[in-house]
Amino acid sequence: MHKQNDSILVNRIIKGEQHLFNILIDRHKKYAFNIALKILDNAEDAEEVAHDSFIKAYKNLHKFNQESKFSTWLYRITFNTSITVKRKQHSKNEEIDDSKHNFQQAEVNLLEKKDQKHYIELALKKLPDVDQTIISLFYLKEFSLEEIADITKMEANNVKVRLHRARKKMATEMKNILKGEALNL
Amino acid sequence: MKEPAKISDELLLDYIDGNLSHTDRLIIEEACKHSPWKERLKELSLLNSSLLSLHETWSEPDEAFNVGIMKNIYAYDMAPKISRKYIILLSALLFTCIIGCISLPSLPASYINQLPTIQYYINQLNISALQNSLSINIQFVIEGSLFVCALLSLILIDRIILKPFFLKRKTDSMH
Repeated sequence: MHKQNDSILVNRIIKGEQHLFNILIDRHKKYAFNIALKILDNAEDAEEVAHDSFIKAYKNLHKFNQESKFSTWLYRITFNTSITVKRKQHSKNEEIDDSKHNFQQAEVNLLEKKDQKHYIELALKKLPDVDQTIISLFYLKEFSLEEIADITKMEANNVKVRLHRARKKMATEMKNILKGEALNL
Repeated sequence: MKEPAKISDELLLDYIDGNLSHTDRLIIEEACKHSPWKERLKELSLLNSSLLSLHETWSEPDEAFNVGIMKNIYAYDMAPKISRKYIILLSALLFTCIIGCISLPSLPASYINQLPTIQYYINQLNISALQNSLSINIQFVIEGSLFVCALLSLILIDRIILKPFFLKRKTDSMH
């Protein structure tokens, strides 16, 4: 249903009703933004990447092969753009990024110490960027493993292996975090 | 009891995801009645349920997010598009201008007067008095054509390269 609606909208936008793109933005901005946020770990950068991804998607809408879902295509653009931005940031200023990350982490830690979701977020942040994206997309329950593989440019089997491995790692990580918290009490 | 050696984290995760056959599910359920798999399944199920609700806390981008994108999109649509045919035309004009400018000064001054076909017709018509004026006209036409080519090239450079470039820069700075 969602897919059909998106593809109808895409066709109408291509024919000149560009104002309809606003509906697509509304529909997908939250996920695009959060995919970028998982990778970049900075709300401002994530918003910029999501913004650029939508514009890239609009400019290349006529090239969009409608065999896949619009959301899959858009999130692939977002994922690739985020990875590119992250690489640029790393090569530019690795030290500043690290100190910023630690500061944010400490700040969040003070505010939400007892929140279980916070522990999940912490454990998730310890995973590589690609694994974070795979976990996030998988738990949206909107994409099959094949679609996630399409977004992250991987084999479906590889995605499955990484998903299992990431969850195992997260379970261990959460155990360690909770152990550490219990020792601090 | 089925041997616990068969059970692994991967199988437990497949069980949680609902990717196992009925028989495999029964094996897992049987094994998970006892330690250590009972605890492990509990851990992984807890993680799974936490992850399922993870996106509920996802934040939305700024209010002005849509407006910013739509502004950029309208600006993009308003910007003149670079057409391939204009690029070909511009290249042809520039090529003509360059060839013309290089070859024109290297031609002998009397070359135009010696054009055999024109000379032949002039002789045939016996209007020798017109020879000089005609040759001046041909030279004038060649130079005039080159001038028009150069002018058109400049206009095209402005329309298809400079204007879109500055418009794009303006849009980017707005963004």
